[in-house]
Amino acid sequence: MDLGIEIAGIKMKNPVMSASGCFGYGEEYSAFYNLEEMGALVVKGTTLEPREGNLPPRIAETPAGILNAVGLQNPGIDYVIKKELPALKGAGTPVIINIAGNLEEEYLELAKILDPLEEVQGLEVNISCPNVKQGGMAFGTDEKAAGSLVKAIRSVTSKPLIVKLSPNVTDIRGMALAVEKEGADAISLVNTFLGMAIDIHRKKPVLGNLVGGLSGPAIKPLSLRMVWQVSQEVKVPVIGMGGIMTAEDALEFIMAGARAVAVGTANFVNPYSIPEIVKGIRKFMEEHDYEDLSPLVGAAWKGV
Amino acid sequence: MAMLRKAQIIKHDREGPGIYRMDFFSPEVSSRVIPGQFIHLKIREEGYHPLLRRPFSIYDVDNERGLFSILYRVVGLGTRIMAKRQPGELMEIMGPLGAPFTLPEEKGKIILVAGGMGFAPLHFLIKKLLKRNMEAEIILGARKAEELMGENDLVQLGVNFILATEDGSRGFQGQATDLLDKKLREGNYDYLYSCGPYPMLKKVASLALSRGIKGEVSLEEIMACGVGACLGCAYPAKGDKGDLTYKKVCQHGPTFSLEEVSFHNGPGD
Ligand SMILES: Cc1cc2nc3c(=O)[nH]c(=O)nc-3n(C[C@H](O)[C@H](O)[C@H](O)COP(=O)(O)OP(=O)(O)OC[C@H]3O[C@@H](n4cnc5c(N)ncnc54)[C@H](O)[C@@H]3O)c2cc1C
Ligand SMILES: Cc1cc2nc3c(=O)[nH]c(=O)nc-3n(C[C@H](O)[C@H](O)[C@H](O)COP(=O)(O)O)c2cc1C
Ligand code: FES
Repeated sequence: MDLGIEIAGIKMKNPVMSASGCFGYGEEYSAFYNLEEMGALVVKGTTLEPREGNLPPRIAETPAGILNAVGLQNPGIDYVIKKELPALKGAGTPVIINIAGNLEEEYLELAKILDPLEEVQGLEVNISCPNVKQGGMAFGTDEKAAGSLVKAIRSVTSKPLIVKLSPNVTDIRGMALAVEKEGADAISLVNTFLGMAIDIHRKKPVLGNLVGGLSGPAIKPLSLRMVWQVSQEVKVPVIGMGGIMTAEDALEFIMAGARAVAVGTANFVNPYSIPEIVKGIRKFMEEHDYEDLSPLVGAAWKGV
Repeated sequence: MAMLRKAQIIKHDREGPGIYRMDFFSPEVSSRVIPGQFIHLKIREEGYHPLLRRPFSIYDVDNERGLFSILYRVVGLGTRIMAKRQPGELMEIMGPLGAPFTLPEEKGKIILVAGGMGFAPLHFLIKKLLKRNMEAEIILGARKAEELMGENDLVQLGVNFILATEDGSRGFQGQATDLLDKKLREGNYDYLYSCGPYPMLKKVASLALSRGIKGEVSLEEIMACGVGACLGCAYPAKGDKGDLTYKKVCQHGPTFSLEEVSFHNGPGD
């Protein structure tokens, strides 16, 4: 039996990756298990210059979910290359860098800097962060802007290009088709849903940033529906995420059409989420006599 | 390093209005934990509400019996559920986590200032200080007499403590910081530790720093991962070059030196 898959030329030993921003640069969770057990490691959103991030509080819990407004705090690409990536060289799992910016030039510069680096197996372009004031999000909600950004990045890098979409749009299929047309090798679905919480005693929004992105089990039916819709529309592989806590959740996404899945919020609750989900998928395949994952990908729409 | 384990609740007692003490059996934690560190507690075994773990400082340790304790106040859903747990039940704990208080190397006079639940990490600390024969006293502040806690434990330790209540129902009438101001005027202190609400910590820091007294505070911020991976618990602090950055309360903290924390731009400002 083989859990291995390939996404945009990136070979993974299983389909379970970390979701960007929920796994740091891997170091913290390597205290719990060997990162070799992951399908791939997607690191925190990285920008050209260091970013301070948003005012606290940055986290607010809501029923079965969390709102976050971290605001892309990161030490900037130079630091990441010098200090974080060397530690990941022997990680035994493909490393994917999530890149973000306000302006097209910033994305292009990042892609150029990362293009020659052997230790980077792919780029995930975040055009969807709801927590930064300008830019970023505009690329994520406008098909034309998204398409032309992807086209420009495509022209400066030969690395596998994964584009991560925002769910905060009316027509997720249109967005997916636009970025596929301009050269995306794979599509990540979804980033967080814009939301908020109010502290009735202080009569103020709970988050320092006022609004934030919702993740966790609360969004699973929504993200699953988007994976279902997009995967039937595009030819490139889809990486599904949004509320995956268990192997059963992951299998739902795979059957909805995701070739791989990413796990974010679940890591905070159970640091062993990723290896446990891998184990659960393997067990399911054993029990149902699957030799590999391909018949399961999109099984739910292939059957109707 | 397996940081995740189930621990049995050995004792669970009410200590005051909405305040409970929970003792866990876990020799792995009790033998390793240092004052200032915390555990990240899973509230429910199953289900997604509440979803995240909850952080609690270590209140006490009994190494001989392999026990550690937390002291908590019921403030919301998670702590309400906790209050119903019974001795004998298991809870999943992650930790010990975070950077502990540093203990002064030289002998000196130490003052501790606790506001409300801020007493929890300071109690474990003061025990360690006394073990090292340090000269320490503690100010306990609360809004009113019923909210003062830990008095019995302090009497048992034989440590010098002074009470302050805002409504004057016990001890000094006024805020813990008014009392601290008075104490600092009267005596010479070499080091200070404090934990409590932000407005109090801010005043404590400015009182101490204006007299050139060094010290540390323990901060609270809402946490998601608890291990440094999500940047959810960031708090403004001074970086290596004195520049303002965000530091992770779960990993760089929860203890910070007085000089390091920036109480500007923080919650409550
Ligand atoms: C390092 C650290 C150590 C702590 N030690 C103790 C302790 O020893 N004893 C104790 O009683 N409490 C302690 N706390 C606070 C404790 O974690 C919260 O009170 C608890 O998480 C609230 O959970 P809840 O589900 O009952 O409340 P919720 O329903 O989640 O929230 C109720 C209220 O509590 C506030 N709150 C929630 N989480 C936190 C948090 N992490 N920090 C501060 N306020 C919060 C919310 O803003 C809200 O106003 C500590 C917090 C940290 C970060
Ligand atoms: C605290 C936090 C930080 C995040 N940071 C990023 C980020 O830097 N870049 C990004 O593309 N997505 C980021 N995300 C979104 C996640 O990668 C993921 O798309 C989303 O949380 C849904 O998955 P989940 O429900 O499994 O968490 C972040 C999410 C959380 C909760
Ligand atoms: S709680 Fe995640 S970094 Fe501190």
